[in-house]
Amino acid sequence: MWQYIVKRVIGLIPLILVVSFVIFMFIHLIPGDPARLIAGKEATIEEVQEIRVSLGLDKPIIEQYFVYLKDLLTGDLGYSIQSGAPVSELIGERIMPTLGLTFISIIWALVVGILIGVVSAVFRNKWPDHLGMVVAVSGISLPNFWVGLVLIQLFSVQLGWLPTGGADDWKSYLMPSFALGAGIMAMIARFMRSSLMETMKQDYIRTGRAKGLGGNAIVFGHALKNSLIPVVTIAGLQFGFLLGGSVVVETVFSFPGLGRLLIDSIQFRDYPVVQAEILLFSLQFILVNLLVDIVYSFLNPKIRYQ
Amino acid sequence: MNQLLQVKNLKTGFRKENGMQNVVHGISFHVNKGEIVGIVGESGCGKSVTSLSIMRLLHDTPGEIVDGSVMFKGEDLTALSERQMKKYRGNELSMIFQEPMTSLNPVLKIGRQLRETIQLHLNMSKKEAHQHAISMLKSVGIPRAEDVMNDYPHQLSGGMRQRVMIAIAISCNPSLLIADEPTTALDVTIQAQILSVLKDVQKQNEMGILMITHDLGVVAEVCDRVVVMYAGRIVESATVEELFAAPKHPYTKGLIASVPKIGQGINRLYSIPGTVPSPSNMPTGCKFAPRCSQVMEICKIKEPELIQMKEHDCRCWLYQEKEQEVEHIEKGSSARG
Repeated sequence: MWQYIVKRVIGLIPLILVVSFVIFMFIHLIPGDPARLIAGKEATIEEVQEIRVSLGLDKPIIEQYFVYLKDLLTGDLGYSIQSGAPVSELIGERIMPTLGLTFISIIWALVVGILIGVVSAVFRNKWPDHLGMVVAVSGISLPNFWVGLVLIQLFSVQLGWLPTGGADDWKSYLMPSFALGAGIMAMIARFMRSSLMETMKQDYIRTGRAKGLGGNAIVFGHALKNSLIPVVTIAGLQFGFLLGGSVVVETVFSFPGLGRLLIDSIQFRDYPVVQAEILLFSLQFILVNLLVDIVYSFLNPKIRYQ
Repeated sequence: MNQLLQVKNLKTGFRKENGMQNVVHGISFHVNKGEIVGIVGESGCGKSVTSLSIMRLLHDTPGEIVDGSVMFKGEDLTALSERQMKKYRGNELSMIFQEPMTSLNPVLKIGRQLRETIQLHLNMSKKEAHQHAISMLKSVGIPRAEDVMNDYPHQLSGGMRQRVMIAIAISCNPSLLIADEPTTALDVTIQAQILSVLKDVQKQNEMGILMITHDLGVVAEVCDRVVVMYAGRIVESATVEELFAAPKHPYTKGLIASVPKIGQGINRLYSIPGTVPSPSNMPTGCKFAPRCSQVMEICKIKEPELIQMKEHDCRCWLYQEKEQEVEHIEKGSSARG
């Protein structure tokens, strides 16, 4: 097991290098001269050139990439053009609220989604199934910014129970994580339902019945683990997209997270921050994928022993 | 009472859009204590549905028992609630299936899958169940049984998995084991091994076995009595010796003729022409008439009854007439006398 994980982690290194290279190149393809941007419109050509040299922008692009990579490894992500503060500091302030938000979202989405999916599959075509699927279809079809606005209107404006925004205490996480997780919960519920129904048709389920096992022992002892395999794939993918989704939800709830920082930085063309954030999102995606594979190997012994 | 299982007039149907469609048409047979009875027939003749009906395992199919009774040790299984039935399954009455590759749960260790049944029915602690499971694996000839307990199904070969299935099935010392095509998915050498394992455990535990198969070789190898099914009906039933020595029904004759024999110098193997009619498109008379080489006019009009001739039953007009003639003569002679 550990051998498998270590092997997978080592396998990530070339992938991360490729990703960082692609991001670096794409950022440099964007028209506009950062030196000119920093120097301001009034600056002379000499002044701009001076800044260019001081930032190393006059060097060949490949050399610039290696300098960037070296800085990256030492934790130096450069400085924000907008505020002049180190990018690592800016991201450091924002990363915990966003991680908290995404984790709460994915966890409630998983728990509720799996529960609805199991209940729907067990009571197939009866009222709990219909109810569950109404919830699931709503979760998929309602856009999260709309859900967010409705929540604010209801719980903050009308009832005054929850704050409209910020990330001050646990209360301010409730509505954003609900809005963020609803779609994923719905997706997981639907996958769980169809996956469990498919598993219940398998021969080993019939074997379980022939052994004299009851309904609960069959569903929870035999079917659940097997049917979680496709659900984990979806949950992993969705978790990756959560990071993107959080950009919208953080904006709706004025949540001080990475998503808001990204929007602000793009508006100001603050390339060092944008570049660092994109790299961070990619890393998160890669790590989530690794996590999914590890969970797979727990669920499916065939993968573990290969 | 010697009879372990007695199936009486069992009718099983499949629920279709336009009502029930019978798949098993009122079959009756019995299995004695310690006896191996084979049910033989082509695919689609209703033999698997019969076995699932006895186990009341039609949940996941559109099937339903329509009529008849299944007496097991004096209890009518068709009248039991699901809760009562669960106490029989895997315990007094157990079953193994055709596909050893898919019949074991791929994500659970062999040990867990064995212990589960044992703990459920035999009231043992986990430790006792573990020991019992190992002894069961040994009894079906699995080497290094302790290690196999920690293996997953994919680490075992098909033959080994079927042995595990047998070990699970016999772990609570059942009186009756239903084996639904237990060797069909295995290659020939493994088939022979599995059959001998089945015979061994049958002798040791004095259990009855209902062997569902399409393979007459398996029947000849292990069974005491045979029931031949065609289109959801019993067409012939006899002891194994009797059936192979003097098959009566043209269908049985055809089945026996289509088995290759060593030393027979023919190029082409005999095969019964045509296929089993579908339940929705059954001929009116004898269901085998369209494929029968000895078909008569009456066969196409009226379905023959299953007539009993000593230890050999047969459903065919060829014998019905003779029987009736015999009856006629007997009546005539008794009238004269």
